[in-house]
Amino acid sequence: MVEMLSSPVFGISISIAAYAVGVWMNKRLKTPLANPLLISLILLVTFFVVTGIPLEYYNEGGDMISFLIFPATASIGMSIYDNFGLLKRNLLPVLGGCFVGALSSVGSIWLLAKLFCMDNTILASLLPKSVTTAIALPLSEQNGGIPQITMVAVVIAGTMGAVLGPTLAKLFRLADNKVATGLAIGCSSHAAGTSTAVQMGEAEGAMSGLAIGICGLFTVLLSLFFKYLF
Amino acid sequence: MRGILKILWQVGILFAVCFLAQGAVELLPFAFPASVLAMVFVFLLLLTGILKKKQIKDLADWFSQNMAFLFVPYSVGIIQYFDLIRQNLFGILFISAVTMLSTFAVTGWAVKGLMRLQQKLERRHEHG
Repeated sequence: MVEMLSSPVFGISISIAAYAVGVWMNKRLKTPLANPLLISLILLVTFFVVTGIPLEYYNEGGDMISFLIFPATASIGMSIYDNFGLLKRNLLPVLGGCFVGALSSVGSIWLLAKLFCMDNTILASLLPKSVTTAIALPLSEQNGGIPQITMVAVVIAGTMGAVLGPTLAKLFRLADNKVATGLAIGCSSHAAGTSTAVQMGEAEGAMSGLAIGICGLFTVLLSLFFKYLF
Repeated sequence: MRGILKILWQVGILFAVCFLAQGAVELLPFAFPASVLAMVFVFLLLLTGILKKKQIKDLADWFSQNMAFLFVPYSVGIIQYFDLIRQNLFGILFISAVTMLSTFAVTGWAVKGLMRLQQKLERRHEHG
């Protein structure tokens, strides 16, 4: 039994099984609240807490999947390239908007965390939370944060954008401006929000997709100065 | 046979870029994530034409379609931090939600303002 569980095959197959359930539920329930990653997380955590199987066994296979995050992050470079024409045509609003967006995200997180007297581990975990998971995790880890807490915050931001995107666009009087709506969704709720932006319209979707990469890059640049914030 | 080799070449090319990025971050005077540098390299290599899109397209598309799955094992590690999260639960939830709203609003308004500025500059350009 131990040999079977400590084989990498165990971790890989159980991860795929949990994710498959997540994707299936997401299709059935038709709401961004049923996020496949969140569902598989709940299933797996319950499974390991109930069975008491040590996480080390799971990680034999899990680490192999996690390793693939590296080349997967590299391939985001291709989607930035794909959107480059769109960037050139809207240079000032996109670059300016994404820079202000990244700065306001980091700034507001810092301000609130200080107000709440949060410790630096939590602050470092929250600072990169507006950008896509692949970029947020290494930035969190590098500054002494806990990537799993970052992930929770990233999923909250993404789910809020996916569910509330169109409502917020009306509330903040952006609905008449497709470029502003798309960039606001992309900067505040990355890929998860972009799936909703795509449904709102082609221009909103394209702008939101563009914001994932550009906002991510600005946040990476800002992260070089995170150490002065602690 | 050609199909299988095509994917293998794409894996080879993308991993080679990752390998270069891994080496490059060690030369940088400040800490920088290798995966993010690899992303910048891929973008620049495509932009300069050194790398053709078709040389990595199938693999990159596969990764972007399955990106969320790759984070599943990592997220399970949350088990180890239950206590820390419980102690800071309100702060984490509150800050995550409020800053999402403020980032949304500030970005949107900044874009609107910049577009108005751009139009004004273009109009001035046309007149004089």
